[in-house]
Amino acid sequence: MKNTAIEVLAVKNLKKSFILHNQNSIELPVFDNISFSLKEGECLVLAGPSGTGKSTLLRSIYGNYLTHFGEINIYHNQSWINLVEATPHSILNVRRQTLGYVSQFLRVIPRISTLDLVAEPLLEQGETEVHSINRAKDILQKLAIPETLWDLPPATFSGGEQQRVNIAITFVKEFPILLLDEPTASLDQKNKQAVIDLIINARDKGTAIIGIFHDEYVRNAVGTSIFDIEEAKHAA
Amino acid sequence: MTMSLQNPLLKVENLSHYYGDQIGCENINFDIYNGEVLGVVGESGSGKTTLLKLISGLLCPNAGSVAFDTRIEGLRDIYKMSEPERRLLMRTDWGIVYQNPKDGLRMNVSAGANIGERLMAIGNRNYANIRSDSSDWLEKVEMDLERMDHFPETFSGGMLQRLQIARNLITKPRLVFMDEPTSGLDVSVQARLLDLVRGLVSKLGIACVIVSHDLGVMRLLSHRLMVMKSGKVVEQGLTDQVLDDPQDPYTQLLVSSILPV
Ligand SMILES: Nc1ncnc2c1ncn2[C@@H]1O[C@H](COP(=O)(O)OP(=O)(O)OP(=O)(O)O)[C@@H](O)[C@H]1O
Ligand SMILES: Nc1ncnc2c1ncn2[C@@H]1O[C@H](COP(=O)(O)OP(=O)(O)OP(=O)(O)O)[C@@H](O)[C@H]1O
Ligand SMILES: [Mg+2]
Ligand SMILES: [Mg+2]
Repeated sequence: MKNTAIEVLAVKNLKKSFILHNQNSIELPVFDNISFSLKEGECLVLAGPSGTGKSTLLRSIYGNYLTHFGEINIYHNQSWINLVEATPHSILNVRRQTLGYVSQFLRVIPRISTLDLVAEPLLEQGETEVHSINRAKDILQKLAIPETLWDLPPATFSGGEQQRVNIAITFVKEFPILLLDEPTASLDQKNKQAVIDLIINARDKGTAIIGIFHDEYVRNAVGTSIFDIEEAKHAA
Repeated sequence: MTMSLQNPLLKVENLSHYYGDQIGCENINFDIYNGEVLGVVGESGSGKTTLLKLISGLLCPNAGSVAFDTRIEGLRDIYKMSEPERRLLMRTDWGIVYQNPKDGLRMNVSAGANIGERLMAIGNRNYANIRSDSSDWLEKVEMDLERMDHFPETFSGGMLQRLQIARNLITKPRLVFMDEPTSGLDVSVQARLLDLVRGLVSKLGIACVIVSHDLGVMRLLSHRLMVMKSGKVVEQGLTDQVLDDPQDPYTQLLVSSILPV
């Protein structure tokens, strides 16, 4: 890890609540006044009991959930951008270049082979076909997806296989910042280890990571610091 | 596909259109960038087709402007151009895939002639080249080459939509408008057609405005989503954000009233 690591993400006084318009417009507060920052090579573990808002926080940072109050500052393309105020167009650019996200479930276009799905993010950023396919094969191998499955769409794969494909689609690129929502939830010990190795490898190359890991073994293996949302809520 | 931070390809400002007292659409604002897919959803009669016609040069708005990033002069209001200029744009830089293929095809000429028509319209006179380009495109939309000389009347709904797509994409437009390109097709044909559209659009880096009421389709196909109701845009944003964290009461209803997408 670098010792003069620089900051790449800073959340300030972030608030998120849901307003349910079709249920008497009740407001469901999730968190308020959340502040923390993240450096290169750091793996920040989000902790707190079920329902505290760990996934909500990750989704808010990714722009999948909309926030109106506070700041989400991301170091992108040599400058800072506050995603709370950014246009959808800018957020798409941040997602393409800077911010990767592994959600809990795979959601992809039907009919496309696993290999093509994994190669696509590289093709999209202008890499050659050969390079993209080779990188895709390499990552699928690392995640122990049997070669016999590569030409098939993942729709019929097991839960654990789909989860690993999901991880491959994100890790095939080298994002400066990664958001991981329980990436090892449905994996057995051997496959868990493969994912841990990938995460540690990325982290040690300087990738900044925020992750939710229910599994204590995984958490201890990859985490470098902890942010407890429940405590942060009471401190606020 | 690389998306640039430069100027928008299409800039729509305060766009309104009325049919007599009836609102077609009102005060619409948005930009589209190169390579971006914008989805438009909303209930029947909400103004989706009206909006698509306004922004594709088919219907002159009562108010507001539609500017397109022309190759030579940059952003220009398409309704302040001369008719021939606008027609040229429609044949070259734009493509329109109609909900009803009969509106977008010439039913009394062969498939090959339908596909080649735009090349001829822009002055191409080498018939051998036109024919070979046309058959290339027939293949790209996954149709049998022997269909080249058949008339559209003998085609199925899915094939007609493929033909429309080939006919439009042959001039490598920068912006394609599609109005419910898969409605009326059975589910498996829909899925194949959408894969095809998505593949072509992402390979060629074409920007696209797609009207559909199928939110599942929109999640997979569009980068950004616009939700319309009674002629107005009630919400727009990143597609996954609008579907997973809708802000407007109508969008919340729309999203919750369907199966998970
Ligand atoms: N799209 C949404 N609309 C309305 N409420 C939501 C939405 N997403 C999350 N919530 C609510 O926000 C709260 C926090 O949920 P979240 O999923 O972030 O918890 P979590 O900490 O990740 O829990 P777990 O450990 O069980 O995954 C919950 O009360 C949840 O019901
Ligand atoms: N040529 C016309 N003359 C008069 N009214 C029209 C005309 N075209 C559309 N309208 C009206 O304008 C409103 C918007 O129609 P539009 O066709 O844009 O809806 P839409 O969202 O495309 O609906 P659908 O999903 O059913 O295709 C409707 O109330 C419609 O009746
Ligand atoms: Mg969660
Ligand atoms: Mg319509």
